[in-house]
Amino acid sequence: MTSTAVTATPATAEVTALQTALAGEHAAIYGYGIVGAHLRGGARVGAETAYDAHRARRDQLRDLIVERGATPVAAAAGYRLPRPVETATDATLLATELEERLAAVWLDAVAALEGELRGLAGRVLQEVAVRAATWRGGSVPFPGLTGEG
Amino acid sequence: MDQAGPSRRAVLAGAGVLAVAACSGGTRREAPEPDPDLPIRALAIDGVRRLVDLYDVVGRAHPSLGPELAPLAAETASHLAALQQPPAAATTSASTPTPSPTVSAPPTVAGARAALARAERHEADLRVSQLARASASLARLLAAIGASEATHAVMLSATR
Repeated sequence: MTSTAVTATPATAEVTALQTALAGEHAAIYGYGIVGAHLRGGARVGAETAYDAHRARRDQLRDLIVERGATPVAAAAGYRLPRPVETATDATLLATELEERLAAVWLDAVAALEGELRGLAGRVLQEVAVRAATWRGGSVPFPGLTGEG
Repeated sequence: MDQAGPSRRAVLAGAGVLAVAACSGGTRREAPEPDPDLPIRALAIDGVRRLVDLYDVVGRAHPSLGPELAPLAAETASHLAALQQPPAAATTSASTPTPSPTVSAPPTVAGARAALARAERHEADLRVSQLARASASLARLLAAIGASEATHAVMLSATR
């Protein structure tokens, strides 16, 4: 009843949460490469800004993981897109989905992390939600909370 | 062996951003217990209620903002409802809802939007500051609400 033998130690849980977020950022970076290629003008600029933001977040996560004596997870060799991206509309939809799914990843990080890192995850979630709303053209009541709201 | 190395779960989650529907893994069952979240939940409720009141006052003073504010006000109301959902929070909270008679609407439409944007941004910051003291499950809710508030702030700040 009081045994916690099968649960991860706090340090391991923290690294796992950071690795999960890093893996999500890798995927988003890949996705934005495709998004940007299909957009022009202001939307293109928005995609490039988001791409840069995700790369910066990736680098921060790598540092945090290395600081904890672990090896940062690498990007996958390839990612499957939910559907073909051929038009600007497809690209905008993909960008929305990337941010929405990343919101779920970061919300999981909020729950898994503690203290300052949890605060960081909460701030990242806000940025992700703002970008999702920008692509979507509207807000949602509970960003990242799947199956609710 | 290399427990700190890239875990399979992490890699799968990365694919989840792009491949299938993201499986939100944070909803592990938590046993009912005396609610240590009560104080922080009450703080969040107070904050969200301030926003509800402000939307109400601004909406009355500036009916032309109605169509723009209605969805945001509705989401804010849903934040309040979600925070009040556990009966414990609603019934055992000692603090009576503080009426906010001091809330008043800025005279201009632009001023009203700016005031709402500032209030949403302020509350979004408070939500982050409340995370560390909350349980994992309440932290999820607070973080999601904060993300919505941050979104509202940006939308209200957008030039029209």
